[in-house]
Amino acid sequence: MSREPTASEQTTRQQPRRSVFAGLSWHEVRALLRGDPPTERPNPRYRAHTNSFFLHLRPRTYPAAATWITHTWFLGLLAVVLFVVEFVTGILLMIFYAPTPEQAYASVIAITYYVPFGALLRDLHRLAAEAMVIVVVLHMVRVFVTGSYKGPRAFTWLTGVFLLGVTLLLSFSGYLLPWDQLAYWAVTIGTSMAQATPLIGTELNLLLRGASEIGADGLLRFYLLHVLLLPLVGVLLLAVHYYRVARHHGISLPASVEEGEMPVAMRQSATRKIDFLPTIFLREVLVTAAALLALLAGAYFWFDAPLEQHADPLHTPLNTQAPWFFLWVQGLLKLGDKTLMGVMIPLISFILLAALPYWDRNPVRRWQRRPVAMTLGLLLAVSVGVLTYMGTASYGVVMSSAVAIVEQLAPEEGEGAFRRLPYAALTPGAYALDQPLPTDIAPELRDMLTTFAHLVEDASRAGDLNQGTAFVEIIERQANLKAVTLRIIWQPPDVDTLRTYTRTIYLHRDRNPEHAALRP
Amino acid sequence: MSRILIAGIVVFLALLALLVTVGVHEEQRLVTAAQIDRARQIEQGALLYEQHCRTCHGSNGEGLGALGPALHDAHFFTGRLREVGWAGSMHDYVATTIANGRITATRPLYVGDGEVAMPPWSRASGGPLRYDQIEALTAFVLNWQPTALGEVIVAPMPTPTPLAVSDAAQIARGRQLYGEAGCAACHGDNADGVANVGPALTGIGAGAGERVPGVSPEEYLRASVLIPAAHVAEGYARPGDCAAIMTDVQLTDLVAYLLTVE
Repeated sequence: MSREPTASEQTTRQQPRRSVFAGLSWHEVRALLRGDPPTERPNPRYRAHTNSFFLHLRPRTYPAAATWITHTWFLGLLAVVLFVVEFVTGILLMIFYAPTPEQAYASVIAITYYVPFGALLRDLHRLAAEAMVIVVVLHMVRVFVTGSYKGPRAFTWLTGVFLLGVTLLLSFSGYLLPWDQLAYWAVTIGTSMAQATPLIGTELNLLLRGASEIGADGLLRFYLLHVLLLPLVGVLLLAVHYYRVARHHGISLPASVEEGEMPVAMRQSATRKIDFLPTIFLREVLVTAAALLALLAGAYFWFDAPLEQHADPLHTPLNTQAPWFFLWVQGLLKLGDKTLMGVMIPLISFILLAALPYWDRNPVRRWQRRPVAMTLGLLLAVSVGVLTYMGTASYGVVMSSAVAIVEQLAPEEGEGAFRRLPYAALTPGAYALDQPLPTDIAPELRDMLTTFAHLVEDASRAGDLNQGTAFVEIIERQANLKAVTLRIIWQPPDVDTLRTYTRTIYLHRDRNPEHAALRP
Repeated sequence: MSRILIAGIVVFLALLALLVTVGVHEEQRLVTAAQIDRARQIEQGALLYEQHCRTCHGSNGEGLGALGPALHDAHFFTGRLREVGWAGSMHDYVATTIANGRITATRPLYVGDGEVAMPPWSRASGGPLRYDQIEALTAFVLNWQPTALGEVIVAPMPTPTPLAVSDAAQIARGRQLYGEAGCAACHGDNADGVANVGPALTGIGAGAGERVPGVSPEEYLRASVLIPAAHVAEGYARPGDCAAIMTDVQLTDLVAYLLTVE
């Protein structure tokens, strides 16, 4: 026996649904998602800002010009989206990661090769981390160029520069966790800079590493910094940063609107209020979804989080390089004193940058009218760019020609030209590259051997490898396993004996990307 | 507004399609990834073998006299576990042996009765290797199985002048080694045997192939030189620990002599 529900029963039945959607009826939610005007009067969407915790963080309305894409580029939103991606993927990775020197590397191997979706998770975490550094820097550049750090927004800028610092430190502390050669040596360089700090250097270094060398204690400290302290500081700073933007001064209007002498009608249209629900909300959902799509596609199709050999304190890799976002510091270090270049200059730059609104008292915001600020900013950008190049191993690090040539073709870490050859093209044999090559070898191998011979010939002609000759030996050692030995013999002019440099690499058929692509 | 709506629907559908693609391929990826990881371990193990193991077990796992047994032959993969009474898997046997060594020889025919037969290699036992390196080495050693069992034949080593078994100089060198290595003490100066001590070896090149099914005369002789007790002729006592330490080339020379001794 059923009867029609009464009106009051209908309202009660509506209650739970309404509380899920912050007091909005289903009808209203549907209209909102379609971008339609509100279905009830007074506008129930404003009420939602009071009812919902998440919506109350957001302003009800924005001035139209403050949300122009050419003004904000969504960079603040993107930084938050990336932070959330890092948070979620980070927590999932924590399930499988073990922060001890004995298990860290093995757990990262397990994540990459054996955990369902593990490789994707790690790629996403790494890719989003690198994207976050870029996005946060771009956000800062945009605020600088539009002059939005001035006046009431001075303190917001300060918290923003600290957020940049937290972002860089988060990236850096995460760098160590895989416990591979890349991580170990990059962080060894990084923490050795801490040692150069005046007065407290030794203590600071000890505090970070937990011992004179990075070991179990250092790894645990970096882990706790990465998963606990820095995210906590980041969330708190972000809360202050966003609270000021949302409640204190709002997103800045473009300088052209604020300062420009534009017709009244145009100005009115630029400053008219736009509701958060639905316009801004839908736009943000779209940008977030597009960002996630780009990240996911990037991580799945193109990006592989790097993983080198297990960390080995006794074996320094040929090219020890800081993480790319700290290469500029490594470049500075090549210029001179460790304390001055490695600590004082970065620290002073950071303080000057954070305090920018307090010493740049020029009230004008349009970039065209701030020649000094723009020149200084451009100068900073160019110097960071140049210093980054100087930080790379290709600048100022002298390597013996023989090592450099072999490292180019068959590097200790990473792929290299020989590893990229199809397994079947590695025809077993002993090849003296100053003699004509056998006719029955694969064309790919022939090209590779010719390249090798040319590299040695060029170095020989340049006088680096006097009378240099190259040899390659390919042996099938086991089922699906070949050993490739590269050898360079040369006669240094100042000694009697011949010199030899030899490196053997092993190539398994299944390791070859041609046979076994991780990607579809 | 409808533009945003359409863009939103397109992006969401694309995201959904990508997620489904990722999900559908994940099972296959895990299979491939496990293969890649194994390949990675074998490559790493090969480097470690070259550094740490080659000097006793030979560059190709052929074993070096009484220093270390062969790891690349059928016997290792089919008979060894039974020989040492190991109830676990081959993988565990190899990994445990590398990690902890063998305090005494597990087979009575090797040196090490009463002394350390194989030193321990794991850090926990005072050796130089990490756990993951031992796993890599194990993967490399186990990868000799397909060739040992004859399932896969690898290309022969590219040597400029292949050694001919009938090479007179080689046989002469083998004859000389026969005397120097002490074989004559039991088998007689002219390989004609010593009563009740060592059987005559004359004509063994013809007969060795029929002694053990599936074992070629070369293999039979090679094993017997490395491990005198590997194959004991009927009516003779198990020989003592008299295996010679020699290089692979010397071993080949000696076997060449024995194959032709009349």
